[in-house]
Amino acid sequence: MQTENAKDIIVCEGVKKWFGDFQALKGVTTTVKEQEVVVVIGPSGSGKSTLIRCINRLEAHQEGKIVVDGIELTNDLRNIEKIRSEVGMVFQQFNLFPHLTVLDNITLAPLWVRKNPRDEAEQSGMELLERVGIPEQAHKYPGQLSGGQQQRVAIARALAMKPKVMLFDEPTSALDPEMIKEVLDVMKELALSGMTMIVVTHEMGFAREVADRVLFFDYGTVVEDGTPEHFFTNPQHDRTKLFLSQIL
Amino acid sequence: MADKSKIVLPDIEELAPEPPPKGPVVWAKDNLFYSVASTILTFVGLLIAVLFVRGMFGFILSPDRKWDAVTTNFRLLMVQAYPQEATWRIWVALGSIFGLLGLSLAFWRAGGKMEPRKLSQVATAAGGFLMFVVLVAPFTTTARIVVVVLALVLIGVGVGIVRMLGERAKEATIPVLLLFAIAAGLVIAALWVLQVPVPNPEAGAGESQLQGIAATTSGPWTIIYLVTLAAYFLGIVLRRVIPERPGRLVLMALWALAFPVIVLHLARGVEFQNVGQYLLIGGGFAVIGSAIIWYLADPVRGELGRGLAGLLLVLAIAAWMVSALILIRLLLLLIAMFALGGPTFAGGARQTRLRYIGVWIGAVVITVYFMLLATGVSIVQTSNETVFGGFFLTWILAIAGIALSFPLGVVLALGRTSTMPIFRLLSTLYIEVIRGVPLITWLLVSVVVFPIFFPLDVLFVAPVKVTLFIAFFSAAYLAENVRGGLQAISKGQTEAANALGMTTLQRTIFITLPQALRAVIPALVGQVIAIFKDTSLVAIVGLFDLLKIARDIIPTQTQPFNFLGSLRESLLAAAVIYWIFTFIFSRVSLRLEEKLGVGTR
Repeated sequence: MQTENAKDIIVCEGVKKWFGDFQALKGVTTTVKEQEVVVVIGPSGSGKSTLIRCINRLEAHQEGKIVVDGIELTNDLRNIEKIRSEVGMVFQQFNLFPHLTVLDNITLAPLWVRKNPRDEAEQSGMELLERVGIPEQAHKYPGQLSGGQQQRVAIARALAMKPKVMLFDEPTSALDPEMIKEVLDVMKELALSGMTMIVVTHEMGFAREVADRVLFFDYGTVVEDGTPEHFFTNPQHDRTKLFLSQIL
Repeated sequence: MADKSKIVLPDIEELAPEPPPKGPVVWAKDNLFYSVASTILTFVGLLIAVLFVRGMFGFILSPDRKWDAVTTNFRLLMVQAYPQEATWRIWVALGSIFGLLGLSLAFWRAGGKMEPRKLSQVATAAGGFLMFVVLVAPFTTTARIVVVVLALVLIGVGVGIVRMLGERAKEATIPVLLLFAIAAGLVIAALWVLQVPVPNPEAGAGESQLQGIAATTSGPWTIIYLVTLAAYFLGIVLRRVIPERPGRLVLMALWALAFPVIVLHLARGVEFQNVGQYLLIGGGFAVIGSAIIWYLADPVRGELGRGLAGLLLVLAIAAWMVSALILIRLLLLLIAMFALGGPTFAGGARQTRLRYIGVWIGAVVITVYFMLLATGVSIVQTSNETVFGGFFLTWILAIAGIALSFPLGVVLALGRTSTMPIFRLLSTLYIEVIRGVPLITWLLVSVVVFPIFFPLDVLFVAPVKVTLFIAFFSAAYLAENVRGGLQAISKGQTEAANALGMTTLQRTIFITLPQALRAVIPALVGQVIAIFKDTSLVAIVGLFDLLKIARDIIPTQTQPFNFLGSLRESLLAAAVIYWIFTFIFSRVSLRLEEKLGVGTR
């Protein structure tokens, strides 16, 4: 999926983050190129979610530098809003807006953040719902959908902003096993279409099949960084070997 | 252990479902007499009910009661000193509200279908209650026969519906709106047909004559009824011609305008002053403001737009320090608001900006109109400087108080949950100070202390001052209710809105507030009912609301009739009037909760 000489879209340099006295990120340095699919793996509490939440400033990092699409993340509110509208995010708990219909969930941000006309927003909203396979649910409320359907709506909602990067924060962890596949299929299709993606997940099959790169996180830093083959067959670090032996 | 393969499977045929035990005897046993204690409690409860109904009806039906004090003074209770020849204004006002109601019912496709079974239950229960009343209350023989017949008819209808329809009684087939229309029609018919004895001033004390129960109002009420029906059918026709969304928006705007226009313009009967000057100022602001907003909302302007808008806001606030026409100060403030909101709501496509300018011009027109209303002179002559009194005043105070306190309460709630300490501090201070002092004290402050601090007081008559303080007071309580709703919203909602690039304002308007308000509807309706009843406290500052008239005016009348000592009758009547409307509020709130799905999420 990734082409040679693609430009860097996300650059992290020595990113550090504390929650109170607890240090969640201990100087993370990594780069994501355009159209690259990066899967982030690691035990819970290793800081992997914190990193992607820092990338669209849901958490503010305290030291180091994060540059998204050429804009550095600082406290400047205008930059943050700009970056957030270029970076789509999918949450573990879906976080759909329960008081709006599925279609309204998807069109809200295009209407008011992008300021697209209503008919245009609704048309592309319906196209996105077809893309994730549930156009018939457009006028239902999120509470009436299954978990898998809700997560697909959440993906469509993020895509509606035509983002340059998509962040997935454990998108299948809150789903019943039989619904995981339908969400992963949508994500696979998205990866094949050339979207830049950073996916925090425990789905090793997805990592092996779709990822261009796997980052292994522990103790708030990147322990291992390489292709899926390298990661699964020839890990360098002892910590990685231990982790893999526990889950495989 | 026995051989498991020997287990005999039950015959499927024998497992066919048996009907559950039911019937009145089973119900009574399960609900009224399921233990010794419950049996005792049932009989104690019944005894209390008997004593209450007997006492109540004994009071109402006693020959000593002067109910004609209430019937004769009904007009006084409703509108107090509002002149007879201007009453058409109030009828026109009511007519337009009901017309709007008819249109809205059509546009919102209100009213579902009801099961005949439910109707039958209501009719049977009402009949049963009447039977109970007739058994224990001291009616005369004729009255007894009438009530028994009525009760039997109701029970007959109730049982008949179920018998006739059988299983079909469980299908929702009766349109609720039709039911309401028929019920209202019956009430209207009763206004024409039913007659009550009314004292006759010519015939001397104790003599009375029969008169229709609503001699002067049956005509207008009939017209209003027909107007409502016509508006509903007009709405159904219009619904096919006009797209739903803009239609509803227009109706909502009309509802928002209805109250101030009716109270300030129609019922007060305004003669405008300085029309030329106001139109000139308004026109100037509309043109210059459009240019400014168009310029600042252009996305090319970027940060400069917000900066200049902030400067405008400082200017607008400064205008309140120097002497200038209130209209000019208001319009300056309005320009600043629109300029600040510009990048959020109108930046981007040319079309959105044009629409934003349209909204701005609309806002100018409305502001100029309201300032003309506020400065105009009333042509309705009354003996009372406030023009309004009675139940009409109660409604005005309640609606204006609610309408003003809602936005204020929401802002305070947002302030109290804000991340900025200064807003949090100010809101908390306001809420604690206002809540810590009784409403009566604040009402006294409004007429006694307020004028000392606020030299513009001459512009405000007593009802305006009182309304403001009712609003200030109830806003503090509303804020606490809304805060509860805001805190119940999960962090994920905020994060999802943020992740989509929404600004704080957009997030609050589209995501946080709608959810927070929905979650606290029961508390909000409780607050509405509280305001409605608390308006009766305005008697303390000399306003003549429903309760004041019932308590202090009617029982002191000696001319043309002697109503001395009719205090209890008029108080009971006032209580019933309050109750009817608060009961309607709570029913509407239940419907609203169902419709917005509170608790089902």
